[in-house]
Amino acid sequence: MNLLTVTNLEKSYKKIKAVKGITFHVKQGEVLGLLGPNGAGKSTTISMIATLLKPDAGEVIYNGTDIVKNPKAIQENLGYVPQEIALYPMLSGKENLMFWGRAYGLKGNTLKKRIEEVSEIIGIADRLKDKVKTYSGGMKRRLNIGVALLHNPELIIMDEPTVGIDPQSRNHILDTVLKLNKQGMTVIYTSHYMEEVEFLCSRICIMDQGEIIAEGSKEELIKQIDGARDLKLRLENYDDTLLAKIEAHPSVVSIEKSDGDIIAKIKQDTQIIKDIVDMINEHGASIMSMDVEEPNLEAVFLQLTGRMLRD
Amino acid sequence: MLNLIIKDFKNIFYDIKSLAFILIMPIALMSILGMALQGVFSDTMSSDVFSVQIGVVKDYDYADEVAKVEDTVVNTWNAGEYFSDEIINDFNPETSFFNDFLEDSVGEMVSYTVMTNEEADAALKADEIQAYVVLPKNFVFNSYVNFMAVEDVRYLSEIKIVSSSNPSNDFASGMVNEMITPYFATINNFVSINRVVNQATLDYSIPAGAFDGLREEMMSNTEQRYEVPKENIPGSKTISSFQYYAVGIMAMFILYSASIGARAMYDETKEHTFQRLEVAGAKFSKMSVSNFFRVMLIVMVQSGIMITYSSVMLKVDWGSIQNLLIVLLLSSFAVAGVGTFIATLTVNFNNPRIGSVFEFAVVQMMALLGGSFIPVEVLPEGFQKLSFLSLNASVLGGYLNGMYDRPLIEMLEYTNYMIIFGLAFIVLSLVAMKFRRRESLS
Ligand SMILES: Nc1ncnc2c1ncn2[C@@H]1O[C@H](COP(=O)(O)OP(=O)(O)OP(=O)(O)O)[C@@H](O)[C@H]1O
Ligand SMILES: [Mg+2]
Repeated sequence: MNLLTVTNLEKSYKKIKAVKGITFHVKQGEVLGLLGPNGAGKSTTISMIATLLKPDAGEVIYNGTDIVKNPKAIQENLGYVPQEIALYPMLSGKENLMFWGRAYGLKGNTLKKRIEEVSEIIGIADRLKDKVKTYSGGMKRRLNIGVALLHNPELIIMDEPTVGIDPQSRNHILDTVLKLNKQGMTVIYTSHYMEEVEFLCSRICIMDQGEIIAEGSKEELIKQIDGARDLKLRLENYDDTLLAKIEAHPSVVSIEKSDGDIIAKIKQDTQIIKDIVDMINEHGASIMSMDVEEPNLEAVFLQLTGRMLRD
Repeated sequence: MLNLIIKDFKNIFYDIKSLAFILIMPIALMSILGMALQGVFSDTMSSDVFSVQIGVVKDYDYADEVAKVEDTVVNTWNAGEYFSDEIINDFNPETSFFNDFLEDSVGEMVSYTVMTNEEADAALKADEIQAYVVLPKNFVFNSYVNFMAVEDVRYLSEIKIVSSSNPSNDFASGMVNEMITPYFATINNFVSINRVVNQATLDYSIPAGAFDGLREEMMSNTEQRYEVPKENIPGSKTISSFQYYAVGIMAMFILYSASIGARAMYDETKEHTFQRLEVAGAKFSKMSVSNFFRVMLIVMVQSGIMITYSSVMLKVDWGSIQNLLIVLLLSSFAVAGVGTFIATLTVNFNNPRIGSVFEFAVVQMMALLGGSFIPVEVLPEGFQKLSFLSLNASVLGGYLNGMYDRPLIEMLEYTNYMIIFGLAFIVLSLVAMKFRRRESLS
């Protein structure tokens, strides 16, 4: 079932068209990734879903209700983790949790219990009494997430929740997201780290310059870019006629030498490795090492845009 | 709702800097007033509690600038007869700042050392001083020109205060800010008065020298008293000019607090907590109500401090308690109303400068028209006609009513004004909120 449907969504700032008519949906219980480089329009898209910005055009339907007309329909069920740390640095961790819990209508014992649970989940229980401004970057990030979990939302949107933190906090956050998802929470996860998105998301939308340029599971996306695997070879006793022969194979896209290594870009083809090994043997060369690099989303992005996700 | 209010208050009370602003500023202001009008002023505070070391950097050459003044007066204005060593001595801005202000007025709290820029930086790093003040180039020149000129007014706005970044010095450096800033704000106000008086003298052909007594009193340290010319009600008390200015300055100062809430709200949009609250379903209007109470409370606290301080330390007699409390409450209400409006505009236009414009233009204008500097009766007629625009007139009138021991009923005109003023701005805010577009806040 679709929890959220976004149709032809558009948004311009004064000069820039930040989101150019995108369409996608989020299924109940999944982790949807929004992957894209800086300025792709991820935050703008998310802000519209979170009712913070009014779209110029298009609609956002949450559980059958148009949230542009009726923001309340999503607000109570949404946990929103902004890209920036949106906390009160002068207040303690606990005071922040109390404040935001109340802002979501929690009270009394329920609130107390949720604060305990959430601080356990995000692992800051021992620092609750300290002012947030004394927290490390990673702890602030975790509290930033914790605040969005208090009211047990049905859907949580995280906008680059791991920017600028240590690997430990980052792993903690990624594990938390998976745990929450297992408990039934639907997640929209935004990032420009492809590893995170590959690790977490069952489905991924790749965004660039205000558009969704590809969508699907990791495997589906990779399948879309035929010929993106790298076959790395190190050979002895060979010459260029061998390379020319390999390049002529219909499943080889290109071949090039880079200091001693030979890198062949090959398409998905069960026969290809065997064919190449045969050619090498026929030629009388010997294989010192051989390695197939599995394609990743970076390669997908490169293929689609000619640029790297991050520079 | 209560949740928001509690959060706003916590934010004030946990933040040493804003607390310093709220608590020290009124005291500093009153002590400056004491200095300006009453001369020496001592034993006001135990020095151990707040003792701050500051540096003062003179970015100017005194002799050069005095020479430049002479040149300007003699050659540019062709008014050599007004230039004399006596004037230079009487209005010496260095004496005023160092002796009258730093030593006599706040000397209990601050000790200073004159140093060079490099020395100051080094001392700050070494934690020997908590802040330093840079008196800019042309400080002396501009000061003299201001005292003498009619139109050629130069505001002393570039006073730089450099504070220590060490958080344990937050309070001390906050305090320095809150003492130095009002000093120069007051000086600037005196400049405004001076200009108005000069201008009025020209425009209305008032005999030269008519305001000299007043001017002198405000600008120098004379013990002289100026009787407020308002006494025609038989049996009522007379009050000293000092009492009058205590109220006048207070009526002006509380207006400065109107923009505190706007600034805090703007900070929330910058910190993204505002946006997060919106996502949580909290309406802008709800946040504004909380902001309203924040401003109102601040103004009440500040007025309370100024009233207490001035009555204990400066022996100002505020009259009947009832009268006092009513005006305190209603003036806070009115200021909170205008504060809400400023906050709404600030958020609507995503522009923190709206608060500053208010402080520098509107507050000064209202203070002038409302009689905070000189009694409305003494203002040029054109200005008197405009005084209905000013909240100060009512606040002042309200407090004076008590000081003159007049019956409460005579205050109605002022209380009504304050209520209507507050309500009008609340309505304006509500209207303005409707026009806010969810364009972009980041
Ligand atoms: N408030 C704003 N005013 C004007 N332009 C904006 C504003 N916010 C974003 N933009 C522009 O809109 C485009 C999309 O920005 P957005 O923040 O949505 O990208 P993003 O994918 O979230 O990027 P990042 O990874 O840097 O967070 C960018 O070109 C950005 O410069
Ligand atoms: Mg972003």
